[in-house]
Amino acid sequence: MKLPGLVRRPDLFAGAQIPGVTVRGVFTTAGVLLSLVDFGLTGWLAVGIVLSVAAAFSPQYLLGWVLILFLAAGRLAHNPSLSWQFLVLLLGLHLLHVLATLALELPWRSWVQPRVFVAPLRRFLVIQVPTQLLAVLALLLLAPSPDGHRPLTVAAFAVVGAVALAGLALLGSRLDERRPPPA
Amino acid sequence: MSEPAPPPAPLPAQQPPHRSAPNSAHRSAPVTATAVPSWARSAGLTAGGTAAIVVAAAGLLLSRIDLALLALPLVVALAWTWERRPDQTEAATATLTLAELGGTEVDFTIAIAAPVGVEAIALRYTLLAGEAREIVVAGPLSGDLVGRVPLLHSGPQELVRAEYRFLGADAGALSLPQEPLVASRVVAPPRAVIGWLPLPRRLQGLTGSHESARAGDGGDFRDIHPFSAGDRLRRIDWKATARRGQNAGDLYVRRTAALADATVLIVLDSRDDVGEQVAEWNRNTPAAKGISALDVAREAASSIAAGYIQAGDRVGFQDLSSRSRMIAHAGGSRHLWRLLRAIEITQPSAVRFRHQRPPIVPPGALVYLLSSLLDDEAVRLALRWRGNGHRVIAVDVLPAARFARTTRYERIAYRIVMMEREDRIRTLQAGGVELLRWPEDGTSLPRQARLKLLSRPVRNAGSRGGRR
Repeated sequence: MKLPGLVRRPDLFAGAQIPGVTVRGVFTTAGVLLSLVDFGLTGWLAVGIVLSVAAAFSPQYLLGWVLILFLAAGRLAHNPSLSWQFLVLLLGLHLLHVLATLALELPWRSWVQPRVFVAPLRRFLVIQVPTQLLAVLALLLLAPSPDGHRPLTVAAFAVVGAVALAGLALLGSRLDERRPPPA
Repeated sequence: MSEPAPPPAPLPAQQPPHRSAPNSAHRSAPVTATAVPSWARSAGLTAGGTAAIVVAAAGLLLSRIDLALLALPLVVALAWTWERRPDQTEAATATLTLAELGGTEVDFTIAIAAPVGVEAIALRYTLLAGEAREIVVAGPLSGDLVGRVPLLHSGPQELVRAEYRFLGADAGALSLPQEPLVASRVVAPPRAVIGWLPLPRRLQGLTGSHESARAGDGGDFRDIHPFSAGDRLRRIDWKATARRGQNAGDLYVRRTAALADATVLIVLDSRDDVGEQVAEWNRNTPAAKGISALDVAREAASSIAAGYIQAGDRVGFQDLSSRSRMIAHAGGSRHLWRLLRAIEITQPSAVRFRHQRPPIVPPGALVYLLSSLLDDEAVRLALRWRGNGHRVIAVDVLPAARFARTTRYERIAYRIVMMEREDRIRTLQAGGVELLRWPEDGTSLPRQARLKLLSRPVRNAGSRGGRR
């Protein structure tokens, strides 16, 4: 027989160089670090680690969002003031949401083209930069100090709320204009 | 005996509505599928929305602006994902194209035109019906995906199978898996040159290239025989007449052997197809099993058919795994192409098929039974044909075993199977069936030497073996 041997493994040359399991690994790392930032070295850290690992390797149970709720609940133990921990958490929860959605749909044995992550990363940055600025501003202006004093009064809240509502309405109308008419 | 048309080339198993498949397996016509994908919302969107609402509500109820701020990026991200969901009315087109390199490999190209809004394409592909692999590529594809698949076996085979689904922004929207693209091909087996052609016990044809036992024209000197009515005068051997003649009227003629063609029936036992790697006998993965019994059988059948047809003989073909794959014996180059096509599309049948009666063999035909001899059916048929007076040569096509990655139990099972097979071979030989081992594995004589031995004139037989 002149048939070839089995020396060469067949493959598809697609430039997919990142293992799909990397997304889950990053999710686990982010979840553990955020738990550490949020809870410190307490018993809740163990819960955060367990949730991070379980959410990464069984994303179909949607434990990633349970972890987000768990980390958000951890803020209740802190004063609502501006701190680097809060800004990290603000960034981290968004990152966990993006990674959890990707982990849910990317097969863990797959290989992923690096370009697949470009658009989500760009969206992440576009959302995070103004959100972080807004959070700094809001916490500086609206968060009560440890003695209970608020920099702005209730009337100011009303003004800020009205501006927020107007912005939301403007955003909604623009999105509606961009949508193509129904066929 | 009627001559059924050879079965058509196998097409991909699944044929979606808008699909064009190649008519001929040798052509590189692309396999194209066009369909409007069915879209679904990712569970992540629902879960993310729920989490954002819970966090924002907690911030509102507890007067915690930090909690409300934590919900803000989630809400914006979800709104963005929902806004950028793909167009659900646009059709997607995928094309799979094979390109032959002329050697032992085939290039394939996958091109997918995705609807607007698709950010990634999850592609699941299988080469040589092996293990499925998954890649995720950015979409819409700016360039085609190119791959290469080796041709490890002869016969019909599925080279590439690709399934895909689309992912929207942040994988928030996803399409259901599309119909798979399947590219199949029929690979012609290699052919060996046969130097010696064993012949039937009795040649019954009236023309051909082999010397028969009959007196006639065309062959070498046969004998000196008394003149009888019908003998040509120029055949009278005057010296023999002078030497042997008793009376004045005695005449002796020189007789020559008549030439005749042989009738050969090739019976291919395609009911099982095991490879040389014993560890793969259970899984039978084309990419890992090595050279298989059917690879050897197709090569042997093609070589035998070509050898006899080129020598002017008539050859028929019968596939044991199918009632329909039968070609009546005939000669000529066009018939050879029919035979080769029937041989190369031979594949194991999913339905186990037991012959109530053995296939009909033309009178005086030589029967080649190509089998791995792993069950009794082939032995039963061979002994039946031998009992009917045909010369039967059982061609052993089981490739030499390799034991990589085998367990101890698999090796023991292999030895048991081989012992049963040896018993069958002994039964065959005791019944007068001759054996020809086709693979050149160094355990016995070279193939040409074995064919030469089989081509020797058989005492009390009506024909001699012939050299091409």
